[in-house]
Amino acid sequence: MQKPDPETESDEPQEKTRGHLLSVESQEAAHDRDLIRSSLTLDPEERLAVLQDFVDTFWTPQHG
Amino acid sequence: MDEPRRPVRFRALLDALVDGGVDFVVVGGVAAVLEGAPISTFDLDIVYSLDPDNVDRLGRVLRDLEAVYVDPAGRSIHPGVEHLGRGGHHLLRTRSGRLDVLGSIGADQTFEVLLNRSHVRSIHGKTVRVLELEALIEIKEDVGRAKDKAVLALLRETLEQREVTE
Repeated sequence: MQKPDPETESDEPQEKTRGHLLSVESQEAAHDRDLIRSSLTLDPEERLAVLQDFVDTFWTPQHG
Repeated sequence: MDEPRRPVRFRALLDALVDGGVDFVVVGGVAAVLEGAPISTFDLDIVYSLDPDNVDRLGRVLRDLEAVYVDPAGRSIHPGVEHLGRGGHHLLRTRSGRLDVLGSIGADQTFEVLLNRSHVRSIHGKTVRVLELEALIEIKEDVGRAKDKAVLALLRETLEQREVTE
């Protein structure tokens, strides 16, 4: 049986992968926009408190 | 001897600097957060005035904070007024966590230059100068480090969203 020639094979799988990556990117962009909009509703003190909570949760001596 | 490492306490560091009468502008990740960008950072970066009186005040605050240089060899080297007076970058560990004390950032952007590009913010009753988002973006574009590039898209999006909502 003749092997399929990769040069003449359909681009469909690659296009699917590209489409999936674009979809992930657009989801990430939408997520970032939601985070930004949420942050912009806070005053500076509240924004600093959110950052401090992040540090308190995720800090390790490697960050220090 | 290696100093103990502690998570940063943003409010304690800002309070110490303000109460000590230090003239400074908050830059870096904390400035971005105060300006509305949802990013994370584990240290506080400031640019300070190189005026000799201010350097003296900064030196006193850093002594109170038990500041030492970040040193891979684990030595306890304290920042002296003489060193601080020369500008440059002083990457420090304090009893309230990591504090980077900078004579300038980007292309020779000193305290005096950044003053005109900063907002006054009230943080828990203390008046703090914070670098504006537009300036933060420009400086990160100029510097062009990989870690800055990663955060630039988020900063630009924040600026865009802020203009839409304001």
